[in-house]
Amino acid sequence: MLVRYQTMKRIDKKQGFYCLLNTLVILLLAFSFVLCDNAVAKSKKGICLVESVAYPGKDPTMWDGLYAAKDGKVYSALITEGGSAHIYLYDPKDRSHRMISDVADLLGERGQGIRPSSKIHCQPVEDDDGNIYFVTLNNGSGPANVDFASWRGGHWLKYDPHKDKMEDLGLVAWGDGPYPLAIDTKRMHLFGIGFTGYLYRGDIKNKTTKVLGRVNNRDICRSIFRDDEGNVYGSFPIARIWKYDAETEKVYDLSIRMPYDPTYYPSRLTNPAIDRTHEWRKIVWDPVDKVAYGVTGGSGSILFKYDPHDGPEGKITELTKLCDPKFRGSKNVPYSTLTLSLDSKRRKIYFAPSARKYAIERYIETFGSDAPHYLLVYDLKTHKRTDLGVMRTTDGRRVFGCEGGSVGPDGTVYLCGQIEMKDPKNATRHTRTENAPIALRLIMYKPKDN
Amino acid sequence: MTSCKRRALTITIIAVLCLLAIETAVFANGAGKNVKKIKHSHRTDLRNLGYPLINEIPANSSAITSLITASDGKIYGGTSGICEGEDAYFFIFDPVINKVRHLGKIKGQGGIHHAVVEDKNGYIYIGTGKSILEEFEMHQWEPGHPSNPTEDLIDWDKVDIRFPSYGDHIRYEWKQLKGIMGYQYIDLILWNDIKNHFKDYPGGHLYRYNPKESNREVKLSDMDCETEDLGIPVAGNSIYTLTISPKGDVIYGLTYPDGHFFIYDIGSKKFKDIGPIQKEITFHGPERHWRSLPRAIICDDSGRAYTSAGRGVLVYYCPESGKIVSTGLKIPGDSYPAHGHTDYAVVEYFAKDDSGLIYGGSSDGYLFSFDPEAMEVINLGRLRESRRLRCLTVAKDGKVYLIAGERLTSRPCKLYCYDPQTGGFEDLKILAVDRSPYYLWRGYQFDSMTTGIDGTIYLGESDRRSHLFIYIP
Repeated sequence: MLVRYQTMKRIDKKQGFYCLLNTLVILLLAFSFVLCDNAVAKSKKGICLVESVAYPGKDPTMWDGLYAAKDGKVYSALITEGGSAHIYLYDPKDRSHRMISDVADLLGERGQGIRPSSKIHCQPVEDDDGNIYFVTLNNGSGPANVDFASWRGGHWLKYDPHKDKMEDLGLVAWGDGPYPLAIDTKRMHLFGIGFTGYLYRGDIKNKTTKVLGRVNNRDICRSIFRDDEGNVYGSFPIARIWKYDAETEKVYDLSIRMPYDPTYYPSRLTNPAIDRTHEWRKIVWDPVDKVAYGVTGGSGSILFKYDPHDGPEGKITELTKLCDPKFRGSKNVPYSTLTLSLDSKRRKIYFAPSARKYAIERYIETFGSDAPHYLLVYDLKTHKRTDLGVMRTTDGRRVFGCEGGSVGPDGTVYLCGQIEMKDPKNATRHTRTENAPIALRLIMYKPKDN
Repeated sequence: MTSCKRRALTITIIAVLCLLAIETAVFANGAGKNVKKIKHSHRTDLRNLGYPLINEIPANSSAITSLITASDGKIYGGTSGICEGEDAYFFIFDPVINKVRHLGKIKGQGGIHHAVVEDKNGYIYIGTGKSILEEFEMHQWEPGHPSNPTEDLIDWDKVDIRFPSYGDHIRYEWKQLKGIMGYQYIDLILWNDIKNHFKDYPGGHLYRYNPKESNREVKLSDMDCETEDLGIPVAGNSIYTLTISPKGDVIYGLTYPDGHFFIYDIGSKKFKDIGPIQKEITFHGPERHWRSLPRAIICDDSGRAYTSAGRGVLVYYCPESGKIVSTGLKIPGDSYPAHGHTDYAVVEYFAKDDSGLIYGGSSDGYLFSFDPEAMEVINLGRLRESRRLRCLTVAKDGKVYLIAGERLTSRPCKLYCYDPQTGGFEDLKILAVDRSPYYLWRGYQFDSMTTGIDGTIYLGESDRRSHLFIYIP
């Protein structure tokens, strides 16, 4: 190839010819993909019909801030980087959807000339009384042109649905806020990891926070879980697991390894770093079998089971791969989304994988992708993975990138995803290639066999 | 051929053509030249503290809080636990084998803080104590309050001396009414919390380690360090910092939380407690659960042992008179008269260049030089909004490398270089080692530095899961 390159450098006319050829072939390929995609869309086969509900606000981003509570109500924590995070409450009984908190307003950050709490990254958690907890952050959400030292830090938040009241439980740490969140409902402790990798423990009763030490490096584990004994677990590179022991109140690095395939490409190839592709991306606790189910960040989105009580450090079992169907058999798979959701009652796991093309040079998420996005299900009884199809709304709109996922008590699968907007005025973003107007909506998939 | 197969064949052909075209386009247009290169902006590397998962120092015990370069070029270090009940470890980095090996744990001792020295015969001395990194609960109310299970450990008869900043009438009432009156004040509650933290603590030990006998044995994680216990210098106190005389025959130390200056005479094997270096109790910060006491001592070439004391004044122990003498010089710190303060900065770290000039860092983040012959302190400046100049060392070319920044989770420490020839600081940024895909780590907290015989700078990370960092200037 090097010889060919050098030869061509000397012949300018050939360069022009090859460039023309490139353009024609790329256009032809793109046209064929559009044809194929439309063929899928027109066919009822391979389509996963979902409903969607608009959010009352205009927030363009969401990560893991989706939770269907035990009473069936659905909480969404959406993000406006440079502005405020907002928390919404959807009630499936009357299909009402309302904002319950403008976080910057709640924390008195508006009108101060300071960086606000723009983001809630965590999946909300619930205590035994039905109170819902969140944790806020900014961590680079800017605005970049406002004093970086002005953001005060993340806060633990508690929402009491009976009183319809959001309460600030206090500062996590000056200038830092956690990404993931877990709760020990017996001891009433909250846990989170800040962007420099320190594990925090918030005491809900005393409204104090303790630093438990550093558990992560440059790319923070975005999902942690608490087992039935109150121990908390997270992952760190390369494919390792740490455990917070509720009895000793200390963190230990376990020697057990989670599934990891180093032959899969990292997040980007130009400067391969040890990052989220070497950790788990999302993990959920199953109160029925008392095990955790997780999906790896890289390695082709491996679904695995972690039984922390089997042996001194637990046992990990690889179950299947949950990457988008078009990537099966390939090594250039984008890293996983945060949509992993468990229906512990019906023994099913749902996942909406990233469908964006692998980017060699860039570090991009599934948001903004034009590609059709699938919903997958894994049956814990039959150990069978099923492609439920490309998601489309019941009114025929395309569904793009999804993040966050949770299953309601009735088996409804909730996701937060980008949906094609018929009226561009309702858009909060546009897809990268097609420039299609899109906005985040609460997506609902109701399995037929519920 | 079915329509499905035809479509598959067509797509395959198009895909192959496309791949060829893209490949051609990239090279024909010279785009390959624009692919970003992996660039290492720091000449840094790190070493694990042992063999991972085999005999590495446990993560919770791995915060490096002491480092020295021994006369034979080996680097010795001591660690501190980051939480209660963790043991300190002693370790060696041998540049010849290019590895860190731990030399065993110091059982029952939580930390080795700025407290490793080498004597004239090559023995290493280790001072231990409760880990200063260990957090403990700070209470809002006085002992006896439902939220505060601590005991009243304030010495009420001396409370007026320990807390002199209050008015005479208040201090009089404190002595008369003891806790009834005094526990309205947050500094007294904080001091009582610290005293309770040390309540049943017998005291830090001074140990002697013989490298000739004990360096060869490779230790597993739970094995003890082979040391000779020389005793406890001051009961109920940790050893906070140590230094040794230029002749290598007398060790000077300071204790925490009572701030006693002590001497250990190596020849006679005897301790001498000189008493508190300062009487008043202050909490200058930025660490909220620490009493402000100097964290370093250094000897000049004549044998005087310098540290800072009350009001940030440089003092020295005079071997001839056996007394602590004030220089009348203050180390740089921040003060705002409107705030009515009596607190002051303390010295964090010292290092000496070949000419005998001493460099120091203060808890307010200032670098200063001290010429013991001219008795002159020069404030060389402050690096960051974040306070604390945590540690420093003088390189072979005379430049001073230093770590600045508080022990915050949100704003990691950074490495800087001060050039005495030109003045000013160079920001060398966060210490990051990137050897991905094999290992990658960013160091955020550092509390000790030393310069190796070949000029390599060694930095002790002081976090959970710490490493020995290596920087080649």
